Amino acid sequence: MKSQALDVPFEATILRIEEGEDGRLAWVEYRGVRVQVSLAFVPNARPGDRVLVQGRVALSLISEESDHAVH
Amino acid sequence: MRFIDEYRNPRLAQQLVEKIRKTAHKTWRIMEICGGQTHTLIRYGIDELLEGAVDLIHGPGCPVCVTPLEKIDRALAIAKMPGVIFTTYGDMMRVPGSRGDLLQAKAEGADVRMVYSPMDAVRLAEQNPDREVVFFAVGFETTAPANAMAVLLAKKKGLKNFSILVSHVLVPPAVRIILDDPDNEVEGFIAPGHVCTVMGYREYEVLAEEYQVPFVVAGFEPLDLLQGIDMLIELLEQGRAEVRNQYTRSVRREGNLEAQRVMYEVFEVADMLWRGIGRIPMSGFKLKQAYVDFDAEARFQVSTIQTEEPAVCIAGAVLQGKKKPIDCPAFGKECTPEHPLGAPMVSAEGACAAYYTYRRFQEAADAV
Amino acid sequence: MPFECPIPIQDYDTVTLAHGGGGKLTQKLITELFQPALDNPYLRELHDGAVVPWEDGRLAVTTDSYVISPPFFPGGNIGSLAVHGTVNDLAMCGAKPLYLSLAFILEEGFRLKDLWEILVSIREAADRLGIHVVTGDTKVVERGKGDGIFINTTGIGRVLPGIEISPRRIRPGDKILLNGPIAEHGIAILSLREGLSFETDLESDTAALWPLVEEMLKVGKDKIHALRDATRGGIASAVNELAQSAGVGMVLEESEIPVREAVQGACEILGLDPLFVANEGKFLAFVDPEIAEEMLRIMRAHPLGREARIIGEVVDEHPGIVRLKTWLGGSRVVEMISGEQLPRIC
Repeated sequence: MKSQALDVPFEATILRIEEGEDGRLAWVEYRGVRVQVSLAFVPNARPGDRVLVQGRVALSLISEESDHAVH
Repeated sequence: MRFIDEYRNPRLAQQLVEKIRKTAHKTWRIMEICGGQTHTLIRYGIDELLEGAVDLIHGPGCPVCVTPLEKIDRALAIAKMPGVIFTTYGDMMRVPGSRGDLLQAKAEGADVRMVYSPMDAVRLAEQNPDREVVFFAVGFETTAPANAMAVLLAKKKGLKNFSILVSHVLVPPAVRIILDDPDNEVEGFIAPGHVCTVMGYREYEVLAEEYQVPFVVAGFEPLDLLQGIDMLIELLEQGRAEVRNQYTRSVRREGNLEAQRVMYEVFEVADMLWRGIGRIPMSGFKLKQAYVDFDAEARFQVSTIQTEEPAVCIAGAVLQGKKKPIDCPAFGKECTPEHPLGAPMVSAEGACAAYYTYRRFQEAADAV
Repeated sequence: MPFECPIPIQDYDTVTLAHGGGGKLTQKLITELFQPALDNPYLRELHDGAVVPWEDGRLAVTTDSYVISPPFFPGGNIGSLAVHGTVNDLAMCGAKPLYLSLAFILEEGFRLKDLWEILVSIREAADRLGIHVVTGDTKVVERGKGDGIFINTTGIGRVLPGIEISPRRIRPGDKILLNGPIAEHGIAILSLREGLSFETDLESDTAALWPLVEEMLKVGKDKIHALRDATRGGIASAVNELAQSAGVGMVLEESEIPVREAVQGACEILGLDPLFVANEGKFLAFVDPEIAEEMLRIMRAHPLGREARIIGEVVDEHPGIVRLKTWLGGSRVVEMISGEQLPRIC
């Protein structure tokens, strides 16, 4: 199968955050799909924020205003 | 949905294609470094839309493509040991070692499992205290922080049955190899947006200055890439060797410092073998002394397994953009997607596989 | 060091899961083992069912095994799937389903309550089609030697008079119709798999397609050239197989292929291409361009084809190859999958 599991980052919205024994975890939604990701590297993330996810780990907070791809 | 679809707007895409075509007064040879970007370019047919204005060279940024044969052989050896649960990202299952791949090892009874995150592997280790759980830690700077975090977590939990087989590579040293080559034809680079999300882009500023080539950090949505290419073509046309950031919504100049902190807590930079390219100094990660207990190569004593790459395969030159896949004597003969000699023929995004598909199409079209 | 090539994928000396993936390796199994061993004109058709001459008409015969894990999933269970799948293979031969056989391989320890629920689904699915399960068989294997329940069904149907469905009848100019959004079955099943841990509200599209196909055949008759349900390997495998066996090229329009939001999302997250993901209630119809619009109307008027689209056409150029025009205006070749799909989705 053409699986690029390794290299598929996606930008998702945080639905809710849980403090687990394995650190801060969040359920995020991308296009109607919900997955659980680690927020270890984005300590300031809050529900409603968008994050870049790869390998089920959030790598950055997405900031809309600084974006110029569509503006 | 709203956000992502903005980056897939056909009208905006068309406008950017026209702009790039207008701006480019010659065919610029540019390299997108990252395999994820290559995937988008091929997936949406962007390479074809830009033909004539831009010659896109697919770079070495596909972890499947650059993981050396030797590591695959070691992975196979570990996976086949009794009591081992070998976990890996799905992509690595089909990468051929000297004899077979992980999929085949699984068919022969090895307990090989696909996971989507190294944390899943840690969880498996916790749930299976009587088994050895090994995670195949491959990838670029993007996956390194998560893999480091998995090691920290396993340490915190006191797990003695978790280890990782490290094959981490770094982007800038590979770019340096490409630029150092006297035959290099790459005139500008699309830098990998998700690697830069972690690392920032200061390293690329050094490269731009030193080699006088421009870089644009770009995301991986179609519009991100088109805009990144547009920005790069403008820099090239103006003769400016600078770094620009298209992917500002995710990439800051200094990167994600917390991710870097965790990564450098566990890993240190070391020489690394690249499939088809060979050893590149200081181009990868190894576990630091303090975490060496988690090193699968030491734990399972597989470091003695050493493998030469097939001599006929020119994967290295292809990955560096020095040669086209059709220059390879094995291309389409001994080496096909069903029977890959080198990794660029394995991954759908690999330069050789992409060429193979394209050529098959051309030949069929010409036959009419 | 002497030149040593890795073991080529086609030379696996044991069965791998990829052999069951519906892609190139499955094809190899068929062309290199099954065909040479059993070769005859019926098998040579390489269709999911065989059409055999009978007094007073033609019969279609097909058989299929179901090993889906887990056996219960959103939108159905292994029982309804075992009826739909086999009936669909008959429908793709242009045959009205008549009779079904039903064989179980049960693992010691499987709950009778679950078996009952599966049987009820089988009965309901058969009743909706007005067909009967006329014979059956049960085997039980020791705990650990099966996975709860496997089902095999064989179906017999009668090919409607005047109907001639065969890949060989596909010709340049034919329009390619699809009855609705793709990849839902595969993604719904994957969402249940341990380790993948994602959630969606998607359901499997498992459905018996005959009622819609019958409506189409009544009107389209011999202007319907070929039908193919897009199960394992998705629509990509279906179009590739047909392009190869008919020796024609095909061009698909990406923007015309319906994919639900959550399917698209899940595919991107998992690194899958929806074109390669399994369906259990979707089929492609290759029809004479003259009747394409009428067929589309018939499909859309039917509950099984509300979101039907004309997704492409058959062309003279690049025989054996399927090209996809992306919504961005570029194009790419739609390859046949060669590696593993995720196993046991049907």
